[in-house]
Formats: sequence, C-alpha cells, structure tokens
Amino acid sequence: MSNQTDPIAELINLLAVLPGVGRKTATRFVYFILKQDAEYVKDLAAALVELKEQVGFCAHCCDLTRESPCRICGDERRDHQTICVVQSPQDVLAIEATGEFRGLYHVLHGILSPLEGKGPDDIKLAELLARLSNGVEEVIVATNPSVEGEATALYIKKLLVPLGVKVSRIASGLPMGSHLEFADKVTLGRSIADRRVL
Amino acid sequence: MRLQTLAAQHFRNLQDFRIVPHPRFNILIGYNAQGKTNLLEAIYLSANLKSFRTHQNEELVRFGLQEARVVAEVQRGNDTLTLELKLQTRRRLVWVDGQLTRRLTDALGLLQVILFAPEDVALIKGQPSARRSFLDHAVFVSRASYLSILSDYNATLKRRNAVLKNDRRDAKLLEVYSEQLVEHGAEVIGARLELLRQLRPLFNDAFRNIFGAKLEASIRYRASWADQVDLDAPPDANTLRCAMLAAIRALGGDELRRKQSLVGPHRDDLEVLLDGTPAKAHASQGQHRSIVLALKCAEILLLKDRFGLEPILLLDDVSSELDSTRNQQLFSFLASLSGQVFITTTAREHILLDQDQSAWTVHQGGLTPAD
Ligand SMILES: Nc1ncnc2c1ncn2[C@@H]1O[C@H](COP(=O)(O)OP(=O)(O)OP(=O)(O)O)[C@@H](O)[C@H]1O
Ligand SMILES: [Mg+2]
Ligand SMILES: [Zn+2]
Repeated sequence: MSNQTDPIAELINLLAVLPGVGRKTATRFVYFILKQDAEYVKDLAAALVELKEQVGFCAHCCDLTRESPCRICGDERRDHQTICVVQSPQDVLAIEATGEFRGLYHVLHGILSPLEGKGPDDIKLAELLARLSNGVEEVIVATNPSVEGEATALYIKKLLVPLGVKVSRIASGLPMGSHLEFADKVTLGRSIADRRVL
Repeated sequence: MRLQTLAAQHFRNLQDFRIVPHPRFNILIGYNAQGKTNLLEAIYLSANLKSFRTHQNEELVRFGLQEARVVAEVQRGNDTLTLELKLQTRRRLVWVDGQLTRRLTDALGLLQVILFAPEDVALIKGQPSARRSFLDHAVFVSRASYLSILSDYNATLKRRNAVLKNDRRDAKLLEVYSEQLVEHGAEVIGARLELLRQLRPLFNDAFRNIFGAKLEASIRYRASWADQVDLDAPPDANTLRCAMLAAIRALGGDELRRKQSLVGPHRDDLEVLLDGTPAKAHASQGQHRSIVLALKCAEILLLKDRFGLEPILLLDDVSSELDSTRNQQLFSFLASLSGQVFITTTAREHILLDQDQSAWTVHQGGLTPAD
C-alpha cells in the first residue's frame, strides 16, 4: 500500500530509471528537492503532469508537440514535398539547428533493430507510408550511420521506390557508429546537402 | 623494426627485468615452466595489446599483485618510440612516448610481431576458424582499414542471423540484410584473396627453403558456396557479390530452417596442398610445422615488402619435431632474413647459429645472460 512505502525510496526508484541517472544521482535529486520550498516542488510536479497531458505525437510527422499539426508541419513556407526521416525528436532539433533543411520531418521513434527484436511494426513506418499520397517527391533518410541505420534506410527504400518516391540517404561524412544529435552543425549540414540517391 | 630495450615489472612469473636485445637473434634457454613463453608474451602484448594465451588481465599480473607493466623501446625505420603498457585487473592502459592513448587501438600495430607458438602446428589440421583468424590477422597487419571492414561484416552477420531466428521474420528486412551481407562480405573476401595472391609466391619459397626442394606447396581459398567462381584468379568485387547473392538465393530454404547465415566469408577456409594433396589429411607432423613456419615467414616477407619494415619474429619452441636437416634449413632460412628474432628453447644445441646473437638463461622467472 502506498502510504506504507517510504516516499524517499519511492521517488529514488522513479528517478533512477531516467537515462543517465543511477541510484546515486537519483538520491541526490531527492534530497535536493526536499530542501526546496513547497512552491518549487508544486511547479515541478505540475510541469511533469502537464508535459505528459499536453505533449503528444504530431498527426503528420509523429514528432512530439503540444499542437497537431506541429509548428513545422503547419508552416506553409516549408517544402512539403520533401520529408527527412529521423530516428528521434532530438534529431529534428539537430537538423533544424543546421538551417540546411527546409522540408518536413518524419520521426520513426526508433530503428529496425534485429538484436533488440524491433521490427517494422515497432516504429512509425506505417505513418510514413500514409503521408506519401500528399504529393511527396523525395524522402531523405537521416538515420544514424550504423549497421541498423543503413539497413533501415535500405528498408525504407524498398518500401518507397515502387511507389515512385525518390529516396536518398544523407552523405556519410558522419563516422560509422556516431549519433546524429551529437554531430557538429557543419558536418551534419553538409551531409544533408551531399545526400545520395538510394 | 626492432626492440631496443624491453622491461617488465610484476609480469607473470618473471622477475622484474630490463634487457637490451640483439638486433638479430635472441635466444631464451630454460627448462619447462621457467618463464620463456611469458617473455615472448610480454613482447606480443606490446604489439597486439592482448595476449595469445588469455583474455584475463589477472593472469598476466604476478600472483598476489595488482598491476603489471611492460615497457618497450621500439625502433621503426629512422624513428624510435616508447610503448608502455599497464595491466590492471579491469583495464589496460597504453602510453606512446609518454602520452596516454585515448583508445587502445590507437597504439595497435605500432610494433608488429609474428608469433609461432607450439599450438600453431595444429593450424592446418584444426578448425577452419583458426585458419580464418590467421588470414584475417595477415590482412589486418598489411592493411589497417581491414579491421573496420571485418567488424562491419561481423555486425551485419550477427543482425542477419537475428532476423533469421525471429519468428515474425520480415521478408523485406531479410532481403536488406542479405544485400548488406553481400556488400560487406565481398569486401572481406576481396581483401583476403588479394592478400593470398601476394602471399602465395613468398609461401612457396619459404616452404621450399625450410622443408626442401622436392615438394610443391600451395594455398587455396575455399568457399563452398563459390564453386562457380575461380577464386585463384582474384575475381572482382561485383563477381563476388553476384556469386554470394546467387548462393544465398539457392540456399535460402536451408538458412530459414537452420536459422543462420550459411553463405559468406565466416564459413570460408584456407587449404594447403602438398604436391596437389590436401595437407590437412596427409601431411606429417614435421610437414605441418614447416607449413606453418613458412606461412609466418611469408607474412614477414610480405610486410617487409609492403612497409619496408620487418616485423619481429617470436618463435616458441620451434625446433622440436623437426629433424636435424630441416632444423638446419630452418636456421639458414632465418639467417637469410634480416629482422629481429626471439627464440625459446629447452636445449641450446637446437639453435644452429654461430653469430649475431645474444642468449639468456631463463630460470624460475629470472633472466641471466648466457655465454
Ligand atoms: N600470473 C602469474 N604469476 C606468477 N607465476 C605465473 C603467472 N602466470 C604463470 N606463472 C608461472 O609461469 C610458469 C610458466 O611459464 P612459461 O609458460 O613461460 O614457461 P616456459 O618456460 O615457456 O615453459 P615450457 O618450456 O614448458 O613451455 C609457470 O610455472 C606458471 O606457474
Ligand atoms: Mg613455453
Ligand atoms: Zn509534424
């Protein structure tokens, strides 16, 4: 029963599952929070609840957003015929920061990963297919330059080329095994500009 | 390439030492279990940053202690460099000229050694995986980029096998991984065949020198799936890709049933023939030893040719099982090379050299100059 569990231990358990946070850091967080005034703690709790209630998938690109369509999908000045496919919402931010790309995005929320048992139904591929009827001409696959990233790109090519869509892959100026979100702006920007047709 | 000095602390059973090896031959004489192989292991570690006998650091550190250290001063052409290796229970650290390397691989291959260990005699008789490792190592030392080619292939293979094992298997995804396997696989095989093309004449020569002129030894790359392709001719990458893909299509059903990839360089093998007969089934013990020695010597000659630097040869107990004529031929062949050699032996009379040498007695881990 919840009123019998120790609230300190409970929060430590909840925080320790966050990426990059172990039990030690979670414990520090808990004691830090305990020392703050009630106002801060209320705001923090409310922000967490609001985050989950208000942020959801964009009905078009599957990016995380407060409103659907998201800011990018709703922007008429952007090129709606080109879609850049990425693994995660962080990758959208990274590519936006380069200023090289004026099309739309599609967030897969994962990658085809045989070792983790993640197949085509576990990522937002069906949602990508559903968008193609609206005059999309080119899909740029910007998955990470890893074995899975390449395989996912080729898989998307096999799906889309029969439908008459041009599929290209970002140039691999990025070292194999690296992560898009950590690539520097210049390298990432150039790899979009120098993309090759798959 | 040669070791100018070698020092170690807390390494295996060896008492802390610092030696100044001879530029040519270095003889380590001692009874069984005195530390001769341990000394070769210290040299091997400086080159490969891993041992040929264990993956466990603890085993390399003298019983009861926490940390071992090996320091090698290496002459490479006109340069000298210092490699310092620290072995702790959980980590290996390497300093090159006093600079701690960020990744171990940064220091890999600065020193090159070729080892002949007694177990290697089984190379031709044993499992194909050992022959593939020999080949891959030979390709890697002559071409550092091969490491990433091979690891891309292995990563692809692992994932393709996972797709084959998955009951909700997606045909399109399997197709993608087949294409990727073929892409990386053709690169691996191409690199191996190219190495063999260069190694072949050197191997034939070395074998004839060590074993005698009467027998003709040859090496062949064997890929059961490639019976339509002449692998000795070196085919181009596209021919290899097509052959691999055709074999995958032909074997597809078997792969699905056995849930593993049956086509590709991970299944290939190396075959040595003596006068056209497979050595695996027919060669004598002495012939096996001569074949392996010839392969290793060929590797040295190839590297010398490629980089102008001769790797250091480590010969562990090489003379046993060779008759006196072959042993003599081996030593005159070694004398015809120009690089540095370390040889262990239990009996000094096996060593048929009369100049260019330093010798040590190895007794209970202690090294004392002999002579
Ligand atoms: N970590 C260690 N600490 C102390 N002694 C060790 C350690 N590892 C191995 N030894 C000892 O080293 C000895 C083996 O040394 P080594 O293998 O070099 O022998 P060798 O001289 O090559 O003998 P052989 O002629 O039989 O091949 C053994 O006595 C073993 O107990
Ligand atoms: Mg030994
Ligand atoms: Zn959107």
